[in-house]
Amino acid sequence: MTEREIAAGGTQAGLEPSPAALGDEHGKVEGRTQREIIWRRFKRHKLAMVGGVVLLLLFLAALAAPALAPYEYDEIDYTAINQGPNASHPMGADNLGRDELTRVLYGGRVSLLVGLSVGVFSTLLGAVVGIVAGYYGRFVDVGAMGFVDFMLTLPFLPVLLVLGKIYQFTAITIAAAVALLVWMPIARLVRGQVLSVRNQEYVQAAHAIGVSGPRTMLRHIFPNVVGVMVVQATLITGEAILIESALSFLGLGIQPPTPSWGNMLEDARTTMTTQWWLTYFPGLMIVVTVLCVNFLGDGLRDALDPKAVE
Amino acid sequence: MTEAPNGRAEAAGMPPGAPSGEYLLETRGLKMHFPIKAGVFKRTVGHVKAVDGVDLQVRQGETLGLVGESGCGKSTLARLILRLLEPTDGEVIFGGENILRYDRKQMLRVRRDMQIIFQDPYASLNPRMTVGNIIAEPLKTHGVGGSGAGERKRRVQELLEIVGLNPEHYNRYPHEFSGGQRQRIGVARAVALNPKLIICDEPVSALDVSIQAQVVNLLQDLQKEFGLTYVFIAHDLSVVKHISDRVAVMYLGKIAEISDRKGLYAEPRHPYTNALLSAIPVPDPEKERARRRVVLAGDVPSPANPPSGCVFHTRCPRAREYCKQHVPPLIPQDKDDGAEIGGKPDHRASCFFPVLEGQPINQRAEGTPYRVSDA
Repeated sequence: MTEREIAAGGTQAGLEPSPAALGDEHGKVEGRTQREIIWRRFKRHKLAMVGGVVLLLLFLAALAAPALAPYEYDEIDYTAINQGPNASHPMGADNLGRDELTRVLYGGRVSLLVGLSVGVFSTLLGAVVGIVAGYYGRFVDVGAMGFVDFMLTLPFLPVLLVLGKIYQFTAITIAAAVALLVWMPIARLVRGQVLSVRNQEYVQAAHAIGVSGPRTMLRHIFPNVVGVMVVQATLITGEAILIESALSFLGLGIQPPTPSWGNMLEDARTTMTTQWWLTYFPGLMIVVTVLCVNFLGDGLRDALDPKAVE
Repeated sequence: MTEAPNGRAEAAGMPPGAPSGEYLLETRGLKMHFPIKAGVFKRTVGHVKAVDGVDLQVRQGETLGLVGESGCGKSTLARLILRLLEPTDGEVIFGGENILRYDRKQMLRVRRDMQIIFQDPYASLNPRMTVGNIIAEPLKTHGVGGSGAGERKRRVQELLEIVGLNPEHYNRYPHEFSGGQRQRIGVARAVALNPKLIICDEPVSALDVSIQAQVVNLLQDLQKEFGLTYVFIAHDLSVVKHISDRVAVMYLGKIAEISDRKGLYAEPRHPYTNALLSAIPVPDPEKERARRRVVLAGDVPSPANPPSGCVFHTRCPRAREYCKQHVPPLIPQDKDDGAEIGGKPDHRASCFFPVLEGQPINQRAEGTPYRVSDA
């Protein structure tokens, strides 16, 4: 057996054949692009697929809220005040007699928008700063990390309060403001990872070839720190939904009567023991969203890692 | 070139037609001192002298072996030559020009002509890239090997075939290959641009012995086919003996001895080289039992605080007071050596009291110190 056969046999006799090996069996290695390989690997991750589908459904439901909701989100029905779940109000009604299901559907618009856009943008921002700082080192690193430290010293809520007083917050401006205030830990984490990846021999090989700095960061550094980033992005997403709710509680977030999962949860704080459905449903939605994002992140991380056990 | 009595001249001979005194690569007084920083204010409290004044000449088409213990500066030297590290001092002359003065654009052009093969076939290939993309990267970076994706793919497959891999495997990831195969991928990446010089930084040290031979043979075949020049770094003296035309021995950031292969292995002059060579096991039990080893006392001194004078004097059985006070230059070893490279005798050792034939090694040297003018 030659070395080559041993290696080929190794991958095929392994627990599960790799996509490339599978391609060999069918004699069409040619047609499969990088993207297809990643997609195939992602599809095999059951939980991630479920997470993705549920998240998509939540999105569609939020988008189609006007069509799906049985009532208006600010429609007050005095006869339904504090009613538990029943036929006409499947998730019950709040202390003003507004339908909880309707409000959960509408609330998803704000919460999903804020959560996901904060997750994506703060991670990207943090990753860019972290990669550039870690890769170039020296004064770039000192400068960037100095700025990160400065941002970290800013008291989070007071800054948001000031911003909220100056600008009237909408879902989008909240997302932008929060993203600009939570990216720093990601930058530090990514930088740390970059410092170790940068010294790998394949990065030196890229230098020896003459690959430019930006290209090295994109092709060699970024793919090797993406795992850390994805995990952080999922955590931040959940956090952002809760931050929005804290802002709502302080009267700076989304203003009533417009619902968000966060402000619904905050409104229901005092009645948690008596009207459980008012905390239960918005809380459930937040948990489900964060869980789905987590699964999605897991699947994404594994799909992007060619060495991951499938 | 005159007839050499010991046949050494032949081994050290120039490739026919090569202009005399012309080197493909030359380093002059190359130094790399890494600062040691300490304290709150990151004050520099000292320097690790990883490479401390190295002069090397490499001729077109030859293989220069570079041996030495771990931490003697071999790999740092390799990285300095390729400008992966910026040296503290010295010159790297490649193709007649000091490349340390080159700007980014000029450097990019030179990189087409000098490449590196790394020691660890697991760390030197990006785990997130397919083999095809890894080998295509130099082609893309320098805009060669065809403009279209199809042309480039053909070139990549050709390269895979050259290094003895299945061209159909271009879409696989590095982890799907064995260590030897991965090293072949590293070789394919290095030869993709048809370079003149390849620095092999312990290319076989991490491999199984049987695979080592395959990779060494591959490197030799490629050298013949493409007229490559190698700087071959290793700590395995037998591998170096097999592949090299000339061999340089490093100790603590300096060249201890440099010679053509036969001269170095048959007649080592530097006590350190003697000790190294005596450590090679002989694959014959009887000879092995009779083998006399030169065992050095102590450890390699710290490169942050190298000994005065000759850096080897702390461990040298032949050292005398003189060695502690004077730094030995690379002294030509043969007065009557017919082999001349650029007007200099080929066998040089940085030792005042070189081990001449028949002399005991484990004994303090006698006589007057050897000098450059003696040669």
